[in-house]
Amino acid sequence: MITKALKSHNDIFKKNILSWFIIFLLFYSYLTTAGFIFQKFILEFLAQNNTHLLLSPESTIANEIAISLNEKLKLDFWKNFSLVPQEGYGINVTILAFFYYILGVNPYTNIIINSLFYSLSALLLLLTFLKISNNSIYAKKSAFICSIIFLLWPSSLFWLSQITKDFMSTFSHLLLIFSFICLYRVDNLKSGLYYLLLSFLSLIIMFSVRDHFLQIQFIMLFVIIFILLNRFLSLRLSLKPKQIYLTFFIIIFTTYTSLIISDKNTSNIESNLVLNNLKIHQLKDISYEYFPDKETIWKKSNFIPNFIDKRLQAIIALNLINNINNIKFGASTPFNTNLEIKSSYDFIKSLPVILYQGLFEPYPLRFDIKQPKFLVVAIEMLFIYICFFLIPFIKSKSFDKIYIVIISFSIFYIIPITYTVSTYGSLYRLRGPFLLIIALIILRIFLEESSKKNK
Amino acid sequence: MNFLTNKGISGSFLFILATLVALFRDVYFVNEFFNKNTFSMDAYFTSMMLLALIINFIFAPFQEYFNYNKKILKNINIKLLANLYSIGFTIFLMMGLYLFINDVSDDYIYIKLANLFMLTINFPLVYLHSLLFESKRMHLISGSNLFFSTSLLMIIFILSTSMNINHPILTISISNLIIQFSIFLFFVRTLSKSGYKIVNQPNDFSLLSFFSKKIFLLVSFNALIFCPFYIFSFLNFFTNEGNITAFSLAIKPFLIFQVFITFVINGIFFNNLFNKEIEDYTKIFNINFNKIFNGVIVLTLIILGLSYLFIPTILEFITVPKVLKLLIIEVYFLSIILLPIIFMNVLFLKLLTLNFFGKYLYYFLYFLIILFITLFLGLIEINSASDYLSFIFVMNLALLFLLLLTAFFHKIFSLYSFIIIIICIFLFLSSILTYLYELYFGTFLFFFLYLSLLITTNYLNGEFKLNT
Repeated sequence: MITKALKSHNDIFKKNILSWFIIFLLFYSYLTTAGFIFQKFILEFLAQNNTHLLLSPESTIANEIAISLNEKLKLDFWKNFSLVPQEGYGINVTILAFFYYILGVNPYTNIIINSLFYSLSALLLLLTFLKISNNSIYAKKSAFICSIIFLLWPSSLFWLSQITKDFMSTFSHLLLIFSFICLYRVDNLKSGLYYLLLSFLSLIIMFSVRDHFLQIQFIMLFVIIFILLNRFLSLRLSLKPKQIYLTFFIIIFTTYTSLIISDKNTSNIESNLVLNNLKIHQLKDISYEYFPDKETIWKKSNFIPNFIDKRLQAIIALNLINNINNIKFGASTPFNTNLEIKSSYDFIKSLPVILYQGLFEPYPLRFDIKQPKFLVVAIEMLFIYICFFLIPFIKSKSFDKIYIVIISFSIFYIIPITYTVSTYGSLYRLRGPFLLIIALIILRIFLEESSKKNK
Repeated sequence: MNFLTNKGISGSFLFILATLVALFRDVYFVNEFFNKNTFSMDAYFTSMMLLALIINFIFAPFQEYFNYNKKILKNINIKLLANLYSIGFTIFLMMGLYLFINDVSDDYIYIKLANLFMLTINFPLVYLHSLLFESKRMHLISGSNLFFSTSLLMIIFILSTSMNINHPILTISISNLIIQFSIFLFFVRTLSKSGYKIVNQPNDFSLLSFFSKKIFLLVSFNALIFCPFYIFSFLNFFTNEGNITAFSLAIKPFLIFQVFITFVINGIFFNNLFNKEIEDYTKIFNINFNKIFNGVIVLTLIILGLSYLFIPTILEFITVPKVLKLLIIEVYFLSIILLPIIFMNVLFLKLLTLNFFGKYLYYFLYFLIILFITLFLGLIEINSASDYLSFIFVMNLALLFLLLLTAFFHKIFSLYSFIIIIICIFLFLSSILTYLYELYFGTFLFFFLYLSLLITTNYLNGEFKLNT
């Protein structure tokens, strides 16, 4: 039925700014409404206790930082303005402080900001899907359904009023993928430059929110450039000098910046103790400072290069600190408490388990599903399992290689997240959008294929 | 323009006047007797709310039935009136028995019984109202409402100033009864004067034909939309005395709106739109829908804005504790933002029952009612009046989207207008909710988006079209 409706009213997907604006407005108005209705009408039935209804403890601290920045801005705007308000907090807090500065302190402003980024993400997902496939009605239908599922994902409503970096990082991830696909399909230099700018914008957003994710994005950029070069060479296009300069510029720029960032992040770890001198800013602010009795010794490997070794050490150190804090504060849903990794070799050995956990945990019946939040999680995980279950029914032909690139990038995010987190809650929140993107890609291919068959 | 050319326009103006007077009457009433007779005030308002339940839950399908079967409306059928009396009286007996079993020791049971007895008088009024619609005398209905409110106002004034009666609220309840009966007599007299014969013929009306699919749907739909307000157990929320009074004061705009839907909009708008013999209602609906929809939203916004100006000043004059005043404001607000949603629900139902009746909708609503009853039997714990309203709000919203989808699948809308309508609903709700959270920037933003959407989609032409 939807197909028929789409057929007769194809104009909504025309290349028309107004129609895209209307789709964006649909997404945005849905999210703000759902966020406010969730806060006003639904949360009081779901909540177990009435504390922290609007803001979780972590968001409360971030909110206080935003309020203090707002007060500083009131004193002297230009002097005190900075993109990163405090170490460990991203640009989302600054945006919130800026809103507070203009409109007055009201934590509900968050819903408006977060839903802006989330609706933009849903729109980008739709655009990406439309960009990959051909122009048929089935492609449009399946893309639209998938973006609607991304939008309606219930657990995102739980976080909509929180001060989290997730929405911006998801947006940045999708923006990079979108600009990558556009760059892949680009036919003239002007639009190529435009999409290159978009990809740098996504890097800037990610840097201002989660700078440690930037390393993954740089790897992505390298792959993109490799694919681009490969494409130019394989098609035997006569490259213009401008294009050659452009690609060289990209390569040099990305290597240079990635080196700078990698130096900045790993300079803190020098000794062979895992926890030695490692600064964990966020934990420091909540006064979680904790010095363990015995520190695990990290064995250096002879076969793995030093700069990779240091990164793996940092990931494991984060995991260790999170675990220690869990024990200290009594987390309700601890995750991977028995993980003991003392060298890069252990790290690689545990990779299959971690990948498995990242893709399939938490199982639907792991927690008491009589509690509404666990019921929601169970239903969502079931949906993701169903999507994975569809893989054997898809022809390998219809797996576009761009899809494979997107899926592998999303897995690239999921792995370090699964290593570092220590509760199911944070696993679910941090990994959520990336896993959802994988599931939706599979669903989309399946839908497109099956509707073609029915034709 | 149907609305303006109809004679009913004077009726609806009178109706607005009558509702204003009714609001004033209730405020005045509470102000005069609240501290002296709080318990009896509670008893009075409980029974009045039960009455509202009967009006909405049972009257509306009958109204629909009479409007639809024009045969019955040629004469005043005494047997039919007697039938209606007997139905009303049965309901009165059952509810009176319920009250009697529960509140035998209650001294105020007579107030409740007197108010409930109004039902017996009120019930045949549905039939008379349909006759009045048929002869285009809607102003009489509104006029009778106005008369009812003003005469009660006079009685309250006399009781509070010059007379010393031991049971003033009981007196008011009894005078309610008398006034309703006199209105009934007046209607019969006017109708018989204007050419309707009073006949005693065996009627076509039977319970089996009455509970057809359509009527069943209407009954169940009314149960879903309106019933939660009056289910008996909800009175248990109000452990403190005076809470019922505050609640029923605050829910007044909602009640008025319900009566407005049942009697006036039904008569003026729906009769015009749907009682013509047209095969395809889609076109008329598509053109009128946008105007009605946005009209209702704008009307709601105006009511909200005006009431926010006047409610604090009105509340200053009422001798009610501060806690109750806060309850009044919250419930008042929630009951107002429910209005457009409920209006849309009623509109969709009318449309779907006309010529797009799907079997699955029938079963689905049946399922929803069972679900709803089980929820109310204790699965959801509801502790306060605003929680209660929240539950109803979410339920009605879900129902609205269900009906919107049904209408879309029956090709009443194009995909494009469907999306625009959904965006309009979302933007309206967002702006209202940001207003609720004192996020005025958001209110401005969403209202601006709403207006720009209406302008860019050629709303003023009546149909949503992309202006490209």
